[in-house]
Amino acid sequence: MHVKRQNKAAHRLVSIVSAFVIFTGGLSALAHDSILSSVAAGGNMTRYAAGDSLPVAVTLTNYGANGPTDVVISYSILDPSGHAVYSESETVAVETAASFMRSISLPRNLKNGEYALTSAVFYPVQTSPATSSFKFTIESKFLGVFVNNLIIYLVSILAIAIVSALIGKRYAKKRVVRNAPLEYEKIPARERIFYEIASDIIAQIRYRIGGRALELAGAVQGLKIDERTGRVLAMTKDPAEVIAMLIYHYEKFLGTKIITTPEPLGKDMAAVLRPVNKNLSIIEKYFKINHK
Amino acid sequence: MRILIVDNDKNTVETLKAALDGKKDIAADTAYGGREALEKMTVDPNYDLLVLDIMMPEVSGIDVCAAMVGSEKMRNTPVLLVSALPIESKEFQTSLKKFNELAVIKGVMEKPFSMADFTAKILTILESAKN
Repeated sequence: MHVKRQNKAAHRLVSIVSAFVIFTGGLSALAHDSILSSVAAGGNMTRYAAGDSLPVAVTLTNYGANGPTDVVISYSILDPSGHAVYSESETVAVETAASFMRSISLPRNLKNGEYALTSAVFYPVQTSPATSSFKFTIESKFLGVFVNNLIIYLVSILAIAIVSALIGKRYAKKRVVRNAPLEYEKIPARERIFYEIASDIIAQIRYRIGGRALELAGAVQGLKIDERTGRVLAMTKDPAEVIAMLIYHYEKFLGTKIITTPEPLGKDMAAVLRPVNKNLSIIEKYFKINHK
Repeated sequence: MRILIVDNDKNTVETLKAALDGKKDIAADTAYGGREALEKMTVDPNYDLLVLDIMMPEVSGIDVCAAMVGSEKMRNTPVLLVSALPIESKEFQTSLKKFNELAVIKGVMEKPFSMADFTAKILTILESAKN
């Protein structure tokens, strides 16, 4: 950077260049003055919060200079209505060109809105200052994040959470349907055990052969099931016969025994299963299934 | 002709009875289980045909058949076996020849069946028994 203090201020060509922004001012000074200037945002950001540092890239070019010249640069922050809410200035010496960064602390009392940083370059024997500016916005921050961004983040997180919850719920529901024992609290106690036995058998076979288990159960006379869940809806015939037929259909399909009665059975359970076992023994004896 | 319909399922019994009632020379009686059937046959063994289900609580159709085979008075009464089990299958046909307790069975019908087939089967068995 060639910034030097200089006293000479004779006839100089003024030009304004910027690597960052198109000039919004200062062109009127071109014809009469010899120094061009520009200010631009010193970074890619255009949004700041009150109290942030505003980086400013300054470029000065002294065309056709006979030597270094002192230049006063004035920076002003203009509010949305064009009133200056902050000003500062500095003097730099420009020989041929100068390019440097300045950091301006944005006042903490700035309200949200669109502001402009303007610069004006003053030097001896000028007829009008070369000016340039760029715009930026002030937005509120919360925990270091712009509130607008925060809302977007929160909405995004919320949307992801909802989608995840829905997927999770659907998966959980599917698992419940497939894995959890079905409840039959509305069925009279005397019949409930048969509903539960049939339901458990269907569920176990469903693990092994999937939806075919429901189709086979649906074909058992006297047994009405929910085609989607396998829930036993009704037994319109003797439950011992229905369960025996259910087991028969499954064993025939699988070619293997599916029931091994745990021993010893409780007294009540033995009484419940006795007619089922009797039917199964008839089936085993007279309708021999070729078990694998 | 006197026919005893034996099934623990009330609807089945009534449906079969209704199919037979009114048929010429046929009088249908009912029993809602194996035990009741044997009691009725013990008191009056002169039924011309038993329509018998297999899977019934306590006393099954097989038990009834075994009791009939063991009874001089009952062993000549033909049985039409009706069941949701595959009694028309090769396996059960083999069992009919193999197991003596099934000797009274003269016909089988797999549920569900039409009433027309049912009455036709009844008439066929009754005709065969006559001869």
